[in-house]
Amino acid sequence: MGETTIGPRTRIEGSVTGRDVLVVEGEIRGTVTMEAPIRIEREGRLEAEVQGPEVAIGGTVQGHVIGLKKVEILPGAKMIGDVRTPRILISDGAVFRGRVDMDVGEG
Amino acid sequence: MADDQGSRTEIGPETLVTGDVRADEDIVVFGRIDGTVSSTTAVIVEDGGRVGSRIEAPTVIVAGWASGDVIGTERVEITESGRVLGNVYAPRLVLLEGGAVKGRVVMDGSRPDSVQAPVPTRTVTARPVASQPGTAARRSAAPASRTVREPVSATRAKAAAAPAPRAAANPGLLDLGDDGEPKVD
Repeated sequence: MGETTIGPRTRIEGSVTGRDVLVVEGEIRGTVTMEAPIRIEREGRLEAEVQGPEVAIGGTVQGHVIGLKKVEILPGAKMIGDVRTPRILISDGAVFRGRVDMDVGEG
Repeated sequence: MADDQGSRTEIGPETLVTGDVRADEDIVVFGRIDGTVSSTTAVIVEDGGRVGSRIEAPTVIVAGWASGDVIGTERVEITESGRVLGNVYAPRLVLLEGGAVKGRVVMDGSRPDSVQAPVPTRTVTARPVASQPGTAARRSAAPASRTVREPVSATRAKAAAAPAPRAAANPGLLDLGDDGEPKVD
Protein backbone atom coordinates (compact mmCIF):
# COMPACT_ATOMS: atom_id res chain seq x y z
CA MET A 1 0.00 0.00 0.00
CA GLY A 2 1.56 3.22 -1.14
CA GLU A 3 0.56 6.76 -0.62
CA THR A 4 -1.01 9.36 -2.80
CA THR A 5 -0.56 12.99 -1.89
CA ILE A 6 -2.43 15.81 -3.49
CA GLY A 7 -0.19 18.79 -2.86
CA PRO A 8 -1.39 22.16 -1.61
CA ARG A 9 -1.10 23.73 -5.04
CA THR A 10 -2.82 21.00 -6.97
CA ARG A 11 -6.37 20.77 -8.15
CA ILE A 12 -8.07 17.66 -9.48
CA GLU A 13 -11.39 17.60 -11.25
CA GLY A 14 -12.64 14.07 -11.60
CA SER A 15 -12.39 10.94 -9.58
CA VAL A 16 -9.67 9.47 -7.45
CA THR A 17 -9.80 5.76 -6.65
CA GLY A 18 -7.39 3.15 -5.43
CA ARG A 19 -5.75 1.27 -2.63
CA ASP A 20 -3.21 3.86 -1.57
CA VAL A 21 -3.48 6.02 1.50
CA LEU A 22 -4.74 9.38 0.31
CA VAL A 23 -3.55 12.64 1.80
CA VAL A 24 -5.22 15.75 0.50
CA GLU A 25 -3.50 19.08 0.98
CA GLY A 26 -4.91 20.55 -2.20
CA GLU A 27 -8.28 20.47 -3.88
CA ILE A 28 -10.41 17.71 -5.37
CA ARG A 29 -13.75 18.17 -7.05
CA GLY A 30 -15.54 15.00 -7.96
CA THR A 31 -15.47 11.67 -6.22
CA VAL A 32 -12.94 10.03 -3.96
CA THR A 33 -13.19 6.30 -3.32
CA MET A 34 -10.29 4.63 -1.61
CA GLU A 35 -9.73 1.28 0.01
CA ALA A 36 -7.25 2.79 2.43
CA PRO A 37 -7.43 5.67 4.91
CA ILE A 38 -8.16 9.16 3.62
CA ARG A 39 -6.81 12.20 5.38
CA ILE A 40 -7.81 15.71 4.47
CA GLU A 41 -5.25 18.11 5.85
CA ARG A 42 -6.03 21.54 7.20
CA GLU A 43 -5.52 23.26 3.87
CA GLY A 44 -7.20 20.50 1.93
CA ARG A 45 -10.47 21.13 0.18
CA LEU A 46 -12.86 18.54 -1.13
CA GLU A 47 -16.01 19.17 -3.03
CA ALA A 48 -16.74 15.55 -3.50
CA GLU A 49 -18.42 12.32 -2.59
CA VAL A 50 -15.91 10.63 -0.34
CA GLN A 51 -15.70 7.00 0.63
CA GLY A 52 -13.03 5.11 2.48
CA PRO A 53 -12.55 2.77 5.42
CA GLU A 54 -11.40 5.66 7.57
CA VAL A 55 -11.83 9.29 6.73
CA ALA A 56 -10.10 11.97 8.78
CA ILE A 57 -11.18 15.50 7.99
CA GLY A 58 -8.97 18.37 9.05
CA GLY A 59 -9.78 20.69 6.19
CA THR A 60 -12.88 21.65 4.29
CA VAL A 61 -15.27 19.10 2.87
CA GLN A 62 -18.46 19.74 1.04
CA GLY A 63 -20.28 16.59 0.06
CA HIS A 64 -21.24 13.22 1.40
CA VAL A 65 -18.73 11.24 3.36
CA ILE A 66 -18.92 7.50 3.91
CA GLY A 67 -16.48 6.01 6.38
CA LEU A 68 -16.90 2.25 6.34
CA LYS A 69 -15.20 2.01 9.71
CA LYS A 70 -14.73 5.51 11.06
CA VAL A 71 -14.98 9.21 10.35
CA GLU A 72 -13.07 11.83 12.31
CA ILE A 73 -13.81 15.51 12.08
CA LEU A 74 -10.77 17.22 13.53
CA PRO A 75 -10.30 20.63 15.13
CA GLY A 76 -10.36 23.33 12.49
CA ALA A 77 -12.28 21.19 10.04
CA LYS A 78 -15.28 22.43 8.16
CA MET A 79 -17.61 19.69 7.07
CA ILE A 80 -20.77 20.43 5.17
CA GLY A 81 -22.76 17.41 4.14
CA ASP A 82 -23.97 14.09 5.42
CA VAL A 83 -21.82 11.51 7.07
CA ARG A 84 -22.49 7.80 7.05
CA THR A 85 -20.34 5.68 9.29
CA PRO A 86 -20.54 3.30 12.24
CA ARG A 87 -18.16 5.43 14.31
CA ILE A 88 -17.75 9.16 14.27
CA LEU A 89 -15.62 11.56 16.24
CA ILE A 90 -16.29 15.25 16.13
CA SER A 91 -13.61 17.29 17.80
CA ASP A 92 -14.02 20.49 19.69
CA GLY A 93 -13.42 23.30 17.26
CA ALA A 94 -14.77 21.49 14.25
CA VAL A 95 -17.61 22.90 12.20
CA PHE A 96 -20.12 20.39 10.97
CA ARG A 97 -23.36 20.93 9.17
CA GLY A 98 -25.22 17.90 7.97
CA ARG A 99 -26.74 14.65 9.06
CA VAL A 100 -25.11 11.70 10.65
CA ASP A 101 -26.22 8.22 9.73
CA MET A 102 -24.64 5.58 11.91
CA ASP A 103 -26.89 2.82 10.76
CA VAL A 104 -24.24 1.01 8.78
CA GLY A 105 -23.98 -2.73 9.25
CA GLU A 106 -20.58 -3.96 10.24
CA GLY A 107 -17.68 -1.92 11.52
CA MET B 1 12.90 21.12 -10.37
CA ALA B 2 11.30 21.12 -7.00
CA ASP B 3 9.50 24.27 -6.25
CA ASP B 4 10.46 26.39 -3.26
CA GLN B 5 9.15 24.51 -0.28
CA GLY B 6 9.29 21.14 -1.93
CA SER B 7 5.59 20.50 -1.88
CA ARG B 8 4.37 18.25 -4.58
CA THR B 9 1.63 15.95 -5.68
CA GLU B 10 2.29 12.27 -5.80
CA ILE B 11 -0.10 9.79 -7.33
CA GLY B 12 0.62 6.46 -5.66
CA PRO B 13 1.14 3.21 -7.52
CA GLU B 14 -2.31 1.91 -6.70
CA THR B 15 -4.22 5.08 -7.41
CA LEU B 16 -6.25 5.93 -10.47
CA VAL B 17 -7.26 9.49 -11.19
CA THR B 18 -9.88 9.97 -13.85
CA GLY B 19 -10.06 13.60 -14.79
CA ASP B 20 -7.78 16.57 -15.00
CA VAL B 21 -4.94 17.39 -12.68
CA ARG B 22 -3.47 20.89 -12.56
CA ALA B 23 -0.79 22.09 -10.23
CA ASP B 24 1.60 24.88 -9.36
CA GLU B 25 3.98 22.27 -8.04
CA ASP B 26 5.55 19.06 -9.27
CA ILE B 27 3.29 16.16 -10.12
CA VAL B 28 4.85 12.74 -9.76
CA VAL B 29 2.89 9.82 -11.16
CA PHE B 30 3.56 6.30 -9.90
CA GLY B 31 0.00 5.26 -10.58
CA ARG B 32 -2.35 6.19 -13.33
CA ILE B 33 -4.07 9.33 -14.54
CA ASP B 34 -6.67 9.10 -17.24
CA GLY B 35 -6.94 12.74 -18.11
CA THR B 36 -4.78 15.74 -18.77
CA VAL B 37 -1.97 16.60 -16.42
CA SER B 38 -0.48 20.05 -16.27
CA SER B 39 1.92 21.76 -13.96
CA THR B 40 3.68 25.10 -13.87
CA THR B 41 6.84 23.33 -12.74
CA ALA B 42 7.26 19.67 -13.71
CA VAL B 43 5.44 16.45 -14.42
CA ILE B 44 7.28 13.20 -13.80
CA VAL B 45 5.79 9.92 -14.93
CA GLU B 46 7.72 7.29 -13.02
CA ASP B 47 8.47 3.79 -14.22
CA GLY B 48 5.18 1.96 -13.84
CA GLY B 49 3.19 5.17 -13.99
CA ARG B 50 0.78 5.91 -16.77
CA VAL B 51 -0.87 9.00 -18.11
CA GLY B 52 -3.62 8.55 -20.64
CA SER B 53 -3.89 12.01 -22.05
CA ARG B 54 -1.96 15.21 -22.62
CA ILE B 55 0.87 16.22 -20.33
CA GLU B 56 2.03 19.81 -20.21
CA ALA B 57 4.70 21.42 -18.06
CA PRO B 58 7.98 23.30 -18.40
CA THR B 59 9.76 20.04 -17.64
CA VAL B 60 8.31 16.64 -18.41
CA ILE B 61 10.11 13.42 -17.58
CA VAL B 62 8.64 10.17 -18.82
CA ALA B 63 9.98 6.97 -17.32
CA GLY B 64 6.62 5.27 -17.55
CA TRP B 65 3.94 5.30 -20.15
CA ALA B 66 2.31 8.33 -21.70
CA SER B 67 -0.35 8.06 -24.32
CA GLY B 68 -1.13 11.54 -25.47
CA ASP B 69 0.82 14.57 -26.45
CA VAL B 70 3.73 15.45 -24.25
CA ILE B 71 4.39 19.17 -24.17
CA GLY B 72 7.48 20.37 -22.40
CA THR B 73 7.72 24.10 -22.79
CA GLU B 74 11.35 23.94 -21.69
CA ARG B 75 12.41 20.35 -21.80
CA VAL B 76 11.27 16.76 -22.20
CA GLU B 77 13.21 13.74 -21.08
CA ILE B 78 12.25 10.19 -21.96
CA THR B 79 14.23 7.64 -20.03
CA GLU B 80 15.22 4.07 -20.87
CA SER B 81 11.88 2.83 -19.61
CA GLY B 82 9.79 5.67 -21.00
CA ARG B 83 7.20 5.19 -23.70
CA VAL B 84 5.32 7.97 -25.38
CA LEU B 85 2.42 7.22 -27.67
CA GLY B 86 1.75 10.67 -28.96
CA ASN B 87 3.55 13.72 -30.18
CA VAL B 88 6.35 15.33 -28.28
CA TYR B 89 6.65 19.10 -28.32
CA ALA B 90 9.77 20.47 -26.71
CA PRO B 91 12.57 22.88 -27.54
CA ARG B 92 14.95 20.45 -25.85
CA LEU B 93 14.53 16.72 -25.85
CA VAL B 94 16.52 13.96 -24.26
CA LEU B 95 15.61 10.46 -25.36
CA LEU B 96 17.69 7.81 -23.69
CA GLU B 97 18.49 4.53 -25.33
CA GLY B 98 15.59 2.18 -24.81
CA GLY B 99 13.05 4.96 -24.51
CA ALA B 100 10.50 5.15 -27.27
CA VAL B 101 8.23 7.56 -29.00
CA LYS B 102 5.45 6.72 -31.37
CA GLY B 103 4.45 10.04 -32.79
CA ARG B 104 5.97 13.23 -34.02
CA VAL B 105 8.77 15.08 -32.39
CA VAL B 106 8.40 18.81 -32.75
CA MET B 107 11.29 20.96 -31.66
CA ASP B 108 10.58 24.15 -33.53
CA GLY B 109 8.79 25.77 -30.66
CA SER B 110 5.32 25.29 -32.04
CA ARG B 111 2.51 24.00 -29.93
CA PRO B 112 -0.29 21.66 -30.76
CA ASP B 113 -3.06 24.23 -30.14
CA SER B 114 -5.88 23.14 -32.34
CA VAL B 115 -3.92 20.41 -34.01
CA GLN B 116 -5.16 17.67 -31.77
CA ALA B 117 -5.00 14.59 -33.93
CA PRO B 118 -1.61 12.99 -33.45
CA VAL B 119 -1.93 10.09 -35.88
CA PRO B 120 1.28 8.39 -34.93
CA THR B 121 2.99 7.17 -38.01
CA ARG B 122 6.05 5.35 -36.87
CA THR B 123 7.99 4.25 -33.92
CA VAL B 124 11.33 5.76 -33.20
CA THR B 125 13.59 4.06 -30.74
CA ALA B 126 16.48 5.83 -29.20
CA ARG B 127 19.77 4.64 -30.44
CA PRO B 128 23.07 6.32 -30.84
CA VAL B 129 22.37 7.48 -34.34
CA ALA B 130 24.11 10.59 -35.45
CA SER B 131 21.28 11.78 -37.56
CA GLN B 132 21.51 15.07 -39.30
CA PRO B 133 20.27 17.71 -36.96
CA GLY B 134 17.47 19.70 -38.34
CA THR B 135 15.35 16.94 -39.69
CA ALA B 136 13.48 16.88 -36.47
CA ALA B 137 11.84 20.16 -37.24
CA ARG B 138 8.43 19.71 -38.59
CA ARG B 139 7.63 21.14 -41.94
CA SER B 140 4.21 22.61 -41.67
CA ALA B 141 3.71 22.97 -38.00
CA ALA B 142 1.30 25.40 -36.47
CA PRO B 143 2.39 29.02 -36.68
CA ALA B 144 6.01 28.81 -35.73
CA SER B 145 5.80 31.98 -33.78
CA ARG B 146 8.87 31.32 -31.75
CA THR B 147 11.88 30.00 -33.54
CA VAL B 148 13.85 28.17 -30.97
CA ARG B 149 17.52 27.66 -31.52
CA GLU B 150 17.90 24.54 -29.53
CA PRO B 151 21.16 23.98 -27.79
CA VAL B 152 21.90 20.72 -29.47
CA SER B 153 24.85 19.89 -27.30
CA ALA B 154 23.10 17.72 -24.78
CA THR B 155 20.51 16.35 -27.07
CA ARG B 156 22.52 14.36 -29.53
CA ALA B 157 20.34 11.33 -29.11
CA LYS B 158 17.21 13.12 -29.99
CA ALA B 159 14.63 11.17 -31.79
CA ALA B 160 14.96 12.62 -35.20
CA ALA B 161 11.82 12.17 -37.14
CA ALA B 162 13.91 10.91 -39.96
CA PRO B 163 12.53 7.86 -41.67
CA ALA B 164 12.86 5.16 -39.08
CA PRO B 165 14.48 1.90 -39.95
CA ARG B 166 11.99 -0.82 -40.74
CA ALA B 167 10.54 -2.40 -37.70
CA ALA B 168 11.98 -5.77 -38.54
CA ALA B 169 15.45 -4.38 -38.68
CA ASN B 170 15.01 -2.87 -35.30
CA PRO B 171 15.21 -5.51 -32.62
CA GLY B 172 14.92 -3.05 -29.76
CA LEU B 173 11.57 -1.95 -31.03
CA LEU B 174 8.87 -2.16 -28.49
CA ASP B 175 5.31 -2.96 -29.03
CA LEU B 176 3.34 -0.21 -27.45
CA GLY B 177 0.11 -1.98 -28.03
CA ASP B 178 0.65 -5.05 -25.89
CA ASP B 179 0.28 -3.18 -22.72
CA GLY B 180 -3.41 -2.49 -22.35
CA GLU B 181 -5.28 -0.28 -24.63
CA PRO B 182 -3.21 0.95 -27.50
CA LYS B 183 -4.99 4.21 -27.27
CA VAL B 184 -4.42 6.65 -30.01
CA ASP B 185 -6.62 9.61 -29.50
